[in-house]
Amino acid sequence: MGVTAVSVSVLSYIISLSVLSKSQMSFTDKMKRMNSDLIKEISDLENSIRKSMKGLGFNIHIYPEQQDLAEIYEQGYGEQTMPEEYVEKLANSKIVTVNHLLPRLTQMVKWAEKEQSVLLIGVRGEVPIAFRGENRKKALIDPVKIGDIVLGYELHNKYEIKLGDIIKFMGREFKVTATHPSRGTIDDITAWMALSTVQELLKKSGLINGILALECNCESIDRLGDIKKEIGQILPGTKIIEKESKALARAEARNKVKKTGEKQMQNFALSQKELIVSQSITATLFVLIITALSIGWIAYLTFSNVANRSVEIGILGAMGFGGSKLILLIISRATLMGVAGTLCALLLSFLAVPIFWGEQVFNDIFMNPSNLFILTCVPTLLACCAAWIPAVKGALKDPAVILRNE
Amino acid sequence: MNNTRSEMALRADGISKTYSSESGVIRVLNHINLELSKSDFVTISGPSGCGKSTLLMILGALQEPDEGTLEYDGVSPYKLNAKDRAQFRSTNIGFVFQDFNLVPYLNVRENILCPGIVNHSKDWGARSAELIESLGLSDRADHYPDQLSSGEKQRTALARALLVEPSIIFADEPTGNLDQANGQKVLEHLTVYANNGAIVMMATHDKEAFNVGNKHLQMAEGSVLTLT
Ligand SMILES: Nc1ncnc2c1ncn2[C@@H]1O[C@H](COP(=O)(O)OP(=O)(O)O)[C@@H](O)[C@H]1O
Ligand SMILES: [Mg+2]
Repeated sequence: MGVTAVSVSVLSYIISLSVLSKSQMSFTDKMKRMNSDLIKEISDLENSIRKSMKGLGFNIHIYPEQQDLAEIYEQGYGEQTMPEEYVEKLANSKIVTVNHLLPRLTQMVKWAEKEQSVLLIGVRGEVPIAFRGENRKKALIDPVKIGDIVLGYELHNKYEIKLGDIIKFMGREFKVTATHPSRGTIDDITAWMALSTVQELLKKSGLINGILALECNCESIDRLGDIKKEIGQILPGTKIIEKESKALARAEARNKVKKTGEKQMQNFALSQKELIVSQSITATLFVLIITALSIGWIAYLTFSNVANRSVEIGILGAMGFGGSKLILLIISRATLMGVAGTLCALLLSFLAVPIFWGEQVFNDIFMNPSNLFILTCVPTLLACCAAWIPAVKGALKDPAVILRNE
Repeated sequence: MNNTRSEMALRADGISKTYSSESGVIRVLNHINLELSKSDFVTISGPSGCGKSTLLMILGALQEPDEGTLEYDGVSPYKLNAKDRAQFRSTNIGFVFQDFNLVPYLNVRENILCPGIVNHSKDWGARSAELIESLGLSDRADHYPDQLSSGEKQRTALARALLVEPSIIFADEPTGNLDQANGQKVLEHLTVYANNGAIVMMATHDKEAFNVGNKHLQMAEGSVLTLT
């Protein structure tokens, strides 16, 4: 009877532990899986963004600080100038964010010979960035040699100018070395010449009004800010604007997607964590309740035996069992009962737990020293304690009193 | 039986016992004087509640009286401490109760051997076997109390009382829950035991059982009316 009681309560405790351990294990599994999914998705996204950004770079214009940007938007270029040495200065610095530097002098002029407005741009081949040495990137734009001219579509198409023709422009003769197809932009009325020639034609010797920096690379979100900072340190007195680009817009959109994705996934992970925390609280509570119930049950069963016990104590007392002997007898019986019940339950659960809940749960329960202690010692201790009270009470009383009160 | 058993006389002087309950103080025993010697088989009768059980308990060193002295050949059990008194009981006194009071988780043999756990004066194996045999429990020795008939239970209880060959046996209505035949057997065993030199004191309602003794004590309201 007592053995069964101990057995059943130990078993129910083990079963509840197993069920819990199992469900917690599946929570953690799920969480782990979700976490790794999350990490993978984020890194996938980052990779695809990096791929699409790779080699794209973006372009900026560097203007003199006093340049009114409104003027640039209005006429496509600024009147303000800055010294041409700025480019050298920039090229000789250890600038990492800019790949190609193209100084230029731009002005809208009248092609007197043809009564035509022309955007005249003086370009100087690319200025190599000093510290990159041989490793510098391949030049993006071919320079225009002195005495040569490159014409936009309107300029050569309208006046039927062919490649290799010698034309007169602002009183000088130039050889047409390239004619561009129609681009549908201001490029179509643009003429490119060597920078030094334009400086002479416009009487702006040693001056430029802008530097185009191409293929700027910067992976940070605030790339313009970073570049402004870097260039600003080398060339104080300049202002920097970003040149519009489709690649940039795409990258920007990607960045946005990435950010929202990350945020969503973080939220998801957070809510999952909260769920698991609340579930584990419930689980812990459940174990506590089961533990309390098990303890309570053992205690109840033992105490409800007190009536029987008293008679037994009375009889044994009448037969001459003295105080300590009596207590010892009762306690050892309770201990035996506790041990037997525990052994029964452990044996059963050793067989049953691996079958119903698997090795993992089995290990969780039985390879844990504190659990093992609870499972083996507590029921026996409880049974002893519960027996102790009637034993001591009985040992202190006259046997007759006990025998009579039955 | 054997003659190594100490042969005792019992002397009780002015034993009184009162119980207090909500309804007041009840004087259960009122100055009882008694003197018994070996081979006395005393049967006690009297109306229910007159104090028979109380008297047996007090004489059996199970319950201290309020007044009076008890002496077994110069030993006063109530002057001993509880432990020594228990020891004294284990060597000198046996009890048989109306409702057997067997230890439920021990079988017949173990129940019988119980007093031997405390009384180590010898190995009780042979003695218990002899009792199992003589009380007709041979085929019940390994049974547990709930598998026994009333008669078997009481014979087990009797064997238990007789195990250590106490010089005095107290039997409180031992036949009260038994049929005629089984009661008869118990009485026979008690008679034989008394004839072998022990004192037997038995409380009973039963007229026939009352007549079995060689001394008859008639009680009423805590007093001895007659002792014949
Ligand atoms: N523990 C007790 N407390 C109060 N009264 C008791 C107690 N034990 C016995 N009595 C009372 O003492 C009286 C004698 O009881 P008892 O010795 O059992 O009588 P008998 O055995 O002759 O029937 C009864 O009236 C009984 O109610
Ligand atoms: Mg009675």
